[in-house]
Amino acid sequence: MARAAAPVGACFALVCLVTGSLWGRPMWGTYWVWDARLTSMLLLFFLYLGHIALSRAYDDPDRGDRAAAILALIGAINLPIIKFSVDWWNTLHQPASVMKLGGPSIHPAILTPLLWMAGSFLLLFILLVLVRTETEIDRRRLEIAELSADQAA
Amino acid sequence: MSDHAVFILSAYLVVLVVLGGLTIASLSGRNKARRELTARGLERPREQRARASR
Repeated sequence: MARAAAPVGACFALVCLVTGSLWGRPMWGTYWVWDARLTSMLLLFFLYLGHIALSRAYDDPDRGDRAAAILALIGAINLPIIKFSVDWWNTLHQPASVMKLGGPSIHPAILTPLLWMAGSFLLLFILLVLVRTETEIDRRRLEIAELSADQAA
Repeated sequence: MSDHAVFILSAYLVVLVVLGGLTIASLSGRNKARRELTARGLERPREQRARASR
């Protein structure tokens, strides 16, 4: 399932980085700064790419999956860093404004569509991971069939 | 249109290209694997169960 989820996660991270940069230009006056939130998000994108590359780097898929799983475990450390980076460091990015003590500080006119979009993107993510997991299962069945045919020959 | 329109429309375009491309690639990959399974006479477990229940 991780093999199926990594490319989807990489694409979502890429969309986040690129659209965030496009938002940053008119708001901050720059496309990119080496700010804690942006840098930790870029690191997440590279971790996804590393996971994809590592899982396909071995002839034996099990070895690749094991190596990629270790990278995923190490990479998981980055998740709280992304979430709390805006609170831990003084960054150009605004501090937490949705999930924080005391409730969201965003105006409902923005908060409602934001939550709808977050829910929609989550559903799209789940759907794509399920489709790709199904494909991965089919591919493994084909590989097993090929191996069985080779052994029988 | 405001000065921000170019940034907003570019962001929509990026989302459309990346996520649209990912969706098309995922669905075509699944269809390809399914066709290969069918060509080898291997049905997927769900299809086997559906046929058995008919």
